[in-house]
Amino acid sequence: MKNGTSHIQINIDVPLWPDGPVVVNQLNGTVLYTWVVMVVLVLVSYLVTRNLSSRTTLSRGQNLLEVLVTSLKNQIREVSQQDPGPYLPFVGTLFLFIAMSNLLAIIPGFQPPTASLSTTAALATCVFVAVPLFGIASQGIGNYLKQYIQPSVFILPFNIIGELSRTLALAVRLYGNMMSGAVIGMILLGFVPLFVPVVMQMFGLMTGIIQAYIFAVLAMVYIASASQTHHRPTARNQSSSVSRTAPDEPQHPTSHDSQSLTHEGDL
Amino acid sequence: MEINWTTFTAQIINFLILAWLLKRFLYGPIVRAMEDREKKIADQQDEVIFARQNAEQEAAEYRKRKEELDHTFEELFAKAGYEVEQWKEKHLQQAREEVDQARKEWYRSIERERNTFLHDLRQRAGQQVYSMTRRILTKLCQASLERQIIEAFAERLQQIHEGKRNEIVAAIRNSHDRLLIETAFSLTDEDARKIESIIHEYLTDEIEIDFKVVPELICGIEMKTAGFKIAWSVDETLEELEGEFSTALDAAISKGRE
Repeated sequence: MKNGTSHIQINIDVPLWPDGPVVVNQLNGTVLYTWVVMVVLVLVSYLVTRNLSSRTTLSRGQNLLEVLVTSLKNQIREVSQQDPGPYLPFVGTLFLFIAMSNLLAIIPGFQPPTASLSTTAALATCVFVAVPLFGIASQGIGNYLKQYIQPSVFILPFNIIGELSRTLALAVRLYGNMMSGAVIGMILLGFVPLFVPVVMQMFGLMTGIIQAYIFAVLAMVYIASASQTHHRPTARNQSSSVSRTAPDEPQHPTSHDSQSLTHEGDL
Repeated sequence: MEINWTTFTAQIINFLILAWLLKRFLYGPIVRAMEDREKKIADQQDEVIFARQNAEQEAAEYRKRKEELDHTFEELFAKAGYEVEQWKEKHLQQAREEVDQARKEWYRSIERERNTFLHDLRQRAGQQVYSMTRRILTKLCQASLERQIIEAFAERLQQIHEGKRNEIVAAIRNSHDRLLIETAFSLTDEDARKIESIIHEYLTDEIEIDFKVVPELICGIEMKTAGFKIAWSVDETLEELEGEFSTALDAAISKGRE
């Protein structure tokens, strides 16, 4: 809140030291808090994984990280019906970064980087780029590009629009949720400074985790839809535990995306 | 709500760095550790399965060996029982044979003692009969028993059938043996001459006669020559006496056995 109670604005993209040196004057809260999140994630990972045990007795930290990684792999496997190995670093990092950013928002003074449209746009752009990369790596550039003219070449503009719009949706959804949570917290802090903001913060924790989950799963759905066209019959033959797709789901990847986006709209 | 493109670019770079760092420090080590653990557990399960299979095989082998040992033990036990039975039968048979042998030996010994006793009895009885008869004859009719015996002998010579007598005489003449007269008692010269005269009278006078005292004859007289023997004695009487004693003795032994 910079301009009094009449106008509430949260913008962590504002440079922290505008009068600093050339590089430092560009440093804003988004990048700074992103670094904090990165340091926390990497430091915790390093501290736990430097003394890993392959025996059956585990440290608490290793146990926690193994549960986390296993859950991520299982989610990726359920969504993609493929080996989660290649997708784990990308999708897992999306989830962990967003989740950690949103969780750290409980700390007073910490502004989650995900409340910045620049961050969410950057993440959505990463997904936007990763989708064709994984798709091409999986089925070749020809097959991947052929998806855009299926079932007809007239669908091509709509497919391109779909790609762009879902990327935009990804970015705006996360930004809107996180920013709105922060704005609501600010407003309630002005009206009822006791207790209610605490409840809202706790509610924000849940919302943050859900948003991280949604972002990661949607990214995985996009990547899977781009990389599993040829594997679809095989995947359908498997006893799939994917509950996000209907049994009579069309085989076309774009339709798959639409189905996923429909659920996304529900969320 | 606007995008700071510098921040946008920095965040993309930050995200990529974070993804690489997490892959380096989180996903890679954690996944490797889990895979190592799964491999170890799988290896341990394989080892357990292998050890269990080995244990089952060894257990089966030991069961088989135990059955073989039990079978062998039963065979050995049966064989030992059979051998013991054989040994027992053999030694029982041997013991029975030894007992039978001892019993037979004992019976033979008893028989010998019995025969010896009967022989002694016969000898003693004969001697007593002879002595008593001799005294009775002397006291009652002033007769000599020896003389009566000689008379009885002469009577026997007389009673020899003519053909037999000629056969004896021919044999005496052909053999040129001396004729031997054995008596249980000593002959007086008169008795000796009487015997000579009897022999010369009833057989032949072409033979030399020798006399010999043989106490075992017991009240008897015998003539031996050229394979012929003519005798008179109380042997028959003594045999009857011995037979009666033997019968009585056997009856007493049988009663004692019962």
